[in-house]
Amino acid sequence: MSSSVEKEWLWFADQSLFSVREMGEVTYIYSLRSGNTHVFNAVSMAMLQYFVAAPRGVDELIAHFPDLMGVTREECPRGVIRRIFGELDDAGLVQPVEKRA
Amino acid sequence: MDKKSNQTHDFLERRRQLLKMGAAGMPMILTLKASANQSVHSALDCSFKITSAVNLLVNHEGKVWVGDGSIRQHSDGRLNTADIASFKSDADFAFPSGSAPDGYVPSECPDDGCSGGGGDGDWDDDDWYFGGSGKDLLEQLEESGSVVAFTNNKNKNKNKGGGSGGDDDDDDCGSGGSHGDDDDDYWDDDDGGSSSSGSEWTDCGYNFYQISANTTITPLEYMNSSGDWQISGTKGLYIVLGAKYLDYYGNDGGFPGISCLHSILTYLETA
Repeated sequence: MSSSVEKEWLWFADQSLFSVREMGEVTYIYSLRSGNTHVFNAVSMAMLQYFVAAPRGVDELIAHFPDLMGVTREECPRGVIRRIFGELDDAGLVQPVEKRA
Repeated sequence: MDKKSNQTHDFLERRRQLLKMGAAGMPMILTLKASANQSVHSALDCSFKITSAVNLLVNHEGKVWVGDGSIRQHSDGRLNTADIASFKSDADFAFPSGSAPDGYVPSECPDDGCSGGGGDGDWDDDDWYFGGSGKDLLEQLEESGSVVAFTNNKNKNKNKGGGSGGDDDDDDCGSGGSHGDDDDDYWDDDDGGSSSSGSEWTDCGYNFYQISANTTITPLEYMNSSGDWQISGTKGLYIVLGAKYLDYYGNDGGFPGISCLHSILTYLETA
């Protein structure tokens, strides 16, 4: 999905569509829709939770994620954030819910 | 405060490392695909390695102590009572009565003899244990008769020597003895029914199981094509205890292999 499209939408992770099991340093997300189980680490889990809390845009994610991780922007570059978001999207765990006003 | 600060620092370092790996192209999400063509889900395929030796002591009530301590064995298979007491007091994990399936539980020592081992009346409220009774895996085992089958199999071995199963009526002192990984029996073929009353050695009241370092356990091997558990051997006991741990304590990563077991049991619950 192109960045221009991403910016137009807010994205939301509906936690009623998956079950969560924390197991040590990883978290297993079982998707009720796909039947797939996804293994998350601390970073990807934080990103998923970011979209569980409220519908948000990718540009907001890019702005906030380094602070959320407690690291500098140099340590958490835009491209990495965008790629991890792409993994979330590919897994079908975030959905576009509404266009930005 | 320092501990909390250290934990925060550790979490931060972990996130940094993960982000570096992410920058290097490593996926941050791994997906286990479900497939209708698989009789068993890929989440069941996991296995884990016991990196250091783990020993398990089971008493006649099905209580289990798990630790890395050793228990000396007499040449006839009897266990050293002082070592039993030490093992129990130094155990890393302790599970309450009924934790071990019947097939692993030795007979109680008769009152008039075979009283070695110090009993087990030292179960204190402040001991770290998991209360309540089992469910799921153990229930399934009982219903399927897998435990019974295992009991019979083990009795064939136990009747050779110092140990015996719960239904061995002509055994002088019940069971006792050590069980290595899988089929490695430690006891000899000579008569093992000797009494140990007042002795530093006992051949009843306890079964001792050993898992050597670097042993790999694949839970899938203990499940048949119908998805029913078929528990046997020392590794099977370890799997049962892992399930107990999860039931009562959840997955805190403290019990080796617990994540693998958790993924399996979680899958079975949601399937």
